[in-house]
Amino acid sequence: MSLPQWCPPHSNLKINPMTGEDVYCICKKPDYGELMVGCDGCDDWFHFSCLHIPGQFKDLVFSFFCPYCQAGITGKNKDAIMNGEMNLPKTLWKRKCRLSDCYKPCLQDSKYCSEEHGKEFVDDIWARLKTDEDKVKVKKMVEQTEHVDKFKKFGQADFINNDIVIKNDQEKEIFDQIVARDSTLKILENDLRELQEKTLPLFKKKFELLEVYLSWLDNVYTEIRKLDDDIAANMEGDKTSTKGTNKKKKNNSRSRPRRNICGYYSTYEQAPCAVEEFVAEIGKDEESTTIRGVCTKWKCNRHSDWVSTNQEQYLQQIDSLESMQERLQHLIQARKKQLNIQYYEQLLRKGL
Amino acid sequence: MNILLQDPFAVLKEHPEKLTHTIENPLRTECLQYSPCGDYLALGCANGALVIYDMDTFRPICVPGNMLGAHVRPITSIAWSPDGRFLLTSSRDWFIKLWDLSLPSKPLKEISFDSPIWGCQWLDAKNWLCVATVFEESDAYVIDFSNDPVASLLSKSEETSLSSTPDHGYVLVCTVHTKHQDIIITGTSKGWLNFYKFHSIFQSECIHSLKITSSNIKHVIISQDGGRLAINSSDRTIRQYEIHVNNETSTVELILEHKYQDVINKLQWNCILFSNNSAEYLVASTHGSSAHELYIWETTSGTLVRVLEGVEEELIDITWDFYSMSIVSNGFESGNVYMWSVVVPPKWSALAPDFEEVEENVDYLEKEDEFDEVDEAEQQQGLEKEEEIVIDLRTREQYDVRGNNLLVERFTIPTDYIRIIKMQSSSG
Repeated sequence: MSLPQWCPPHSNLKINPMTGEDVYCICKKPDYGELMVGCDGCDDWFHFSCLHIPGQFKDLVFSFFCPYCQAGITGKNKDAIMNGEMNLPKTLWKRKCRLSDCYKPCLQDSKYCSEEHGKEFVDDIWARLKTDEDKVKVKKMVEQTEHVDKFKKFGQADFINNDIVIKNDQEKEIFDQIVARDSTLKILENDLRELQEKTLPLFKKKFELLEVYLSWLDNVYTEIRKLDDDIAANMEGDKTSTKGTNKKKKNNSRSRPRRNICGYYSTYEQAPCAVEEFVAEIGKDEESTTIRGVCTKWKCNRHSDWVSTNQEQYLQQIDSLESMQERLQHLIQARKKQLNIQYYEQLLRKGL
Repeated sequence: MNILLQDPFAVLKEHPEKLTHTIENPLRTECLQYSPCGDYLALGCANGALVIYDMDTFRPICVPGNMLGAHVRPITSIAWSPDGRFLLTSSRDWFIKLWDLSLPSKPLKEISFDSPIWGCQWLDAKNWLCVATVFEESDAYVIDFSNDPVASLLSKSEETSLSSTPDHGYVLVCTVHTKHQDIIITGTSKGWLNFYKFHSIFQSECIHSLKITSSNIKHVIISQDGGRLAINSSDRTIRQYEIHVNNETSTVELILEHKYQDVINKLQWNCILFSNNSAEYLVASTHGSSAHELYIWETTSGTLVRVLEGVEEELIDITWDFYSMSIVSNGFESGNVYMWSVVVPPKWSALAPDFEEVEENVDYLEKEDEFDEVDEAEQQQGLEKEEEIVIDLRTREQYDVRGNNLLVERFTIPTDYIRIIKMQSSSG
């Protein structure tokens, strides 16, 4: 914050060199008993009039900072402020009494400086009510509740969000007209129903099916691994019989990486066949790359990453559908509230 | 300032020269495409998001798929329909999605393949036809989006079964002839260029096939007037051809015009693009971490006319708006978007044409008839005559100063006020 226009630049002067008197404020004049306020930052004193603060505010000062402290020129925490560790100080005021010409601070948990002024304020409002009808109405409203605490909560009840209870035919007619036949509400409710009953379960189902298929594929993988181990063991057996030439072979079988088949299957709604059956078919036909629609390539560029792509796809859809559901619920609630207000207003208008 | 008042030679530059804007995109741009009139720029991002920027404010104004159905893997290509309302995107997540920008919250239609998509293009936007190239497929697909999306291979049918036809490899790129909309050109991983005549989604015939090179064909582009074709292949060469298509006899003739190479650094080219109309210029981005420029060649002479500099990373995709004459490209490392445009120095004297800028003081010489008395009636008559000429203020001009058609239908993306209000109320 910079200095206000009317404020002269800061000066360190404390004593007038000519007269030897102590000087204060932005005006650098001695104390002649005028109304002054002490700064909480630099401990100097300032005239109300020099700072353009009305004298009535004298009881309302909570914590005062002079223009220099507010601009960060002086003050206890000047260095911290310069380094950006602290914010510039600001003068704080107490809340003023609600009566317009009273400049006393409010009491705790009150809008008035004293009980008398509270009464005066309400009396004033009462006096301004023009007709007797209004007075009756206000009286009725006040008498609704037997205790002031209840009165304070008056109107905060969330009955407006609740469903309307219909007592007679006339009310039903109005209800039908305003709430039941509202097209916006109907559309929203339909959307929500479709989302909850159709779209969302569909994607959840798809995701589950994929999981089921993946566990089937996992079984296939373990079976294949078993087969591989068997073959390796057999080879081991062969090798012991023909020592000498098998050293190279042995290395080969060990270093052979354990790769799995790609396993991509376009319609994984159900497993293509039993695991054993499937494993038995692997390797029978060297040429083909699919068995019953399942891709059996050992290293498949084409379908690489298919599992996580699909999973992410479904998860993203489910995620966005769920947030859409939440949004719809909010919208329905807001619309219902609107309509309920319309309904009760209509009731009042008809005097029911 | 009013572009018409400017020095025509300063305004009518046919390619941009200066880096003027950088759009930072934290989602990493993978590919980009200007809308047909350059009002919007669509960015395809690495996480599958599609973001549309408004090019007046350089702010994103639309994220198609924000409610449902965005891509989950990097987007590989974007294609605008000629009216600017519909967008096709292809992605590595095996999906091609069709977006309607008047209802952008979810895709209008989508189709999935069983491997990543290289790219897709409109074949006939009015009839919802497009062509797409898919990973490790021997041919491009034609997709019909008019009902439930249907895809069909651009079949070579009997030809492929004959063992005599050499292996063409996989199809990598395809494009549609700009003048003959039923001619589809595909490029393969073994350097073959094939021309197809499209009859219907299930029937198209191969009318021409030739081997250009032995390496991958990375791009095939064709000029707006359909007279030039350029091929970018991984043998570090861009080949430019003159192309003649006879629609009646279904013959295609290609004449090699130029080959563009970086002789010194032997760089590959990432992306190539022609300028508008008869393609007087060709722009290409360079591959490799050491090269950070776009090269612009003059196509008739084949000479390098400009190198667009100012970026400190490798550039990938390029798109060119001919209305504002700006070229936009995305960086490989940061994913930011860079824009080069024509910078016109303001020349205020153009607003008052009878004022002249003078270098030094000049003694004014009175003209012979300058202060002659003119007969008032005569003058009045002259003025009236001038007023009689009817000035047409209503008819819109058809072409701008660069010869771009101004009467093209432009689609304006509707503002989603409800969403804006909701966002403000939820944050406030």
